[in-house]
Amino acid sequence: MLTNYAFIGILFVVALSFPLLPLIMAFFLRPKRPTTIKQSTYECGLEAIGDVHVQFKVQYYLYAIAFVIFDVEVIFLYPWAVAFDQVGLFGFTAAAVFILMLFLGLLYEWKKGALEWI
Amino acid sequence: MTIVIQIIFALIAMLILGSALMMVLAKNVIHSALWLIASFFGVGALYLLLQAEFLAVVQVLVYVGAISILILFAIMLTRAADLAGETGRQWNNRWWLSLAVAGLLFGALIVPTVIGETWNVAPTEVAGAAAGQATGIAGAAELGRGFVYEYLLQFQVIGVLLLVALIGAIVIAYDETARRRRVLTLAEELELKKRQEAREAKEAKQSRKGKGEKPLPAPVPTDTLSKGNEGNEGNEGLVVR
Amino acid sequence: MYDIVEIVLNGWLGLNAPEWLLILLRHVLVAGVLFGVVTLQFFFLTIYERRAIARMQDRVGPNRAGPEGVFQTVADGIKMFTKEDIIPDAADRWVHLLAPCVVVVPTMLMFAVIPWGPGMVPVDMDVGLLFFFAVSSIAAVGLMMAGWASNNKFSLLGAMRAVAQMVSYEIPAVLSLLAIVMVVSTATGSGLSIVSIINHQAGLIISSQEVSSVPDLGLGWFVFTPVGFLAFICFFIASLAEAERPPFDIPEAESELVAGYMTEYSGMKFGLFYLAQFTLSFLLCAMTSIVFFGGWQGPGVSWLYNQGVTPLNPDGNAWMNVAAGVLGAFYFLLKTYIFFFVMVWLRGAFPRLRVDQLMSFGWKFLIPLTLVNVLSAAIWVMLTRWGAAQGAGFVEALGPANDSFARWGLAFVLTLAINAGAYYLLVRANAAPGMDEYVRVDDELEAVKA
Repeated sequence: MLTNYAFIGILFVVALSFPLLPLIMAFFLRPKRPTTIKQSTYECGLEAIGDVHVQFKVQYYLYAIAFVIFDVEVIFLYPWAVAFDQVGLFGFTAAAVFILMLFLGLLYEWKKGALEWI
Repeated sequence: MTIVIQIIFALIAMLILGSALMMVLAKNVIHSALWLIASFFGVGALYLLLQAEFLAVVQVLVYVGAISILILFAIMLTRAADLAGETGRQWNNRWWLSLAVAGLLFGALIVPTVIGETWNVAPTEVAGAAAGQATGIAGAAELGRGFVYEYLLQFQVIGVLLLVALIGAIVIAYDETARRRRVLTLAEELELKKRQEAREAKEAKQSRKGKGEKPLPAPVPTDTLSKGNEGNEGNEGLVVR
Repeated sequence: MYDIVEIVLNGWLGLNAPEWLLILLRHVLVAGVLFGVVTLQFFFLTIYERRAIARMQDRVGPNRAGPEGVFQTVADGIKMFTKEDIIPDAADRWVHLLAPCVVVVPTMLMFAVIPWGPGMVPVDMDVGLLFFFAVSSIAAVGLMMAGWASNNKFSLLGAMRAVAQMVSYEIPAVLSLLAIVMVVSTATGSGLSIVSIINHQAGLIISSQEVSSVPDLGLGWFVFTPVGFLAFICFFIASLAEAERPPFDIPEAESELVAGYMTEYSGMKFGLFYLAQFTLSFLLCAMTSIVFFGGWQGPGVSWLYNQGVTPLNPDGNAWMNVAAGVLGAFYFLLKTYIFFFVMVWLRGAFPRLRVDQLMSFGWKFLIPLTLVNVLSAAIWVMLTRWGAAQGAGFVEALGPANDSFARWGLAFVLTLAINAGAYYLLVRANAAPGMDEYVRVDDELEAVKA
């Protein structure tokens, strides 16, 4: 079984070389003529004004936290789905209650308007 | 074969510990977060080495794919002024206290191992599992059976916990006054404005009839087109309806 | 794939190396082959998309470099190599360099669990399906790194949008596969393994019926069941959004954000982002064809494979393995390219969505719909496969499990009704409200603010 994981390790090394090889080749091939104007931040030809790191909206965070919660829910449901045959009707009921709770959470968010993009 | 596995283990452990250390030492808060993600990834690789492939995949899916995004979004949520001071080290006055707590926890884990305590690593049998299966809880199917039989209460409590977390996040973070309706097309905006003006005119007429005096008309915003910009910067200039 | 490599190494070359060396050699060979395959796919897909979209826009497309322009990508590659790499002074140099690598490496790693033909899978993990999605979710971190390190407003906004979109559409994708996993694991015991998902789609159109007299045509695809059909639609839409294909290419909407998180990238680093995007599109199309359209399953493949060297039949004809592999890979790639064509077609046909439309479509339409689909899948399995052993003895009144057209028909009609009903309700719940509703919301908001 570990030999299977060895393949993933080897593929990881090959995958690392996948972006690195072109980057190294390009390093030797490309011209290097930096100028101040060229190295400045692109802002459609204007001088960049203000700091980039503005405070983002809380909406992004709400989506992220909803994503984490649903991701964890799905992770809990996958083992149940794999063992679906073995747990029978009782297991189905247990998982249905679990799904229903999260569905209520989604409905609450929907009705509250937190899913609107503002 | 064991020596190879031990070398790989040592490499992964070095990755985890090194990136954890860099996470604490990095001056920039985003760099800290990125080192933390590298550490999460190393833990996933360690699970794979232990042949717990379901846990490895979940570690990558939840921690590298989800929690790290949450952390990065949370950093983006902080004010620019806080990020501007990103050159400082993460020392504070009570660094010795956290060192003591970390040392104690580490000791609590390492000392029993050193004096020869055997941890309870024997595979536990899942109640209600198919007959003749005495495997540990490692595969997805065993976990699924465990959720439904042995750990049913915990499974449902997790559901409640997730629900509470979702509602709590909305209650704490969601500002209802910042809510706006959907961005409308120009024609819809004009239609809406026309209706509002008609209604206000009607109301003004009625109240003039009733009281015999003219009330001040409610200010009608002229610029009702709100742009879908994400940054809060300059949001004050827009009409938030 | 291992069968063939094994035969080449042991039989033809007559290597008597120790076993660990053979395993290592095998792994390195397969990884090297994958490296080449990914590069070729990228070359082919770029020219494929450019020619196809050109036809839809009533022009010819690149046709100068080589016959019919097939070497256009090579020419583009040479251009990428010789372009200057501009790193803005304000950028974070190391994170700026690492970001494209973090985006590309996962897409390459995802090939580890993709089966190309019968017995031709690099590694058959027990949790292959989850592995695929876990690895694909790493790319979001790379996008965030790219956006932040560039120190540019367009980049950061594009990255935030891209990540929010990717995470929002990951849930419907994973949930729609959950329904398939339920159906497969009741039949094989390990529904998370991609190979068992494909093997389950052998046989006839009616995949839960085992009719022994009919030969295995490899047509028991999930898309022919109501559960699988709805899951297919949801999954394909979600994968469009995950790969940032039009009409979901909001993160790089050039009219608003220049090029999104790629604004400050040039030369080979830009090329790497481009490569990752195409490879991810290919992988998601491949996943669609594997999970819902049987992957390499098709008429004739399993007949050929059964003649060859298999664990059950160690002294078969090795050439039959090769033939089955070629035919299987042909079916698999044909289906995948058809889906890729649909992606290009959608790009030619639809304008870009707005951010709010995109988000509410994912959260208010796809996620509830896929949750209902999980319920339908449970009912499907219960009606077609369960008996008294699962605590559902009442369904046995209709006939024995796995062998009753009455039960199968009832399951088909019931799940179709549930899915269609859920679709109808969600369409109504998501319908654009009338003007009165906007007036009401406005009043409500005024009241909240006052």
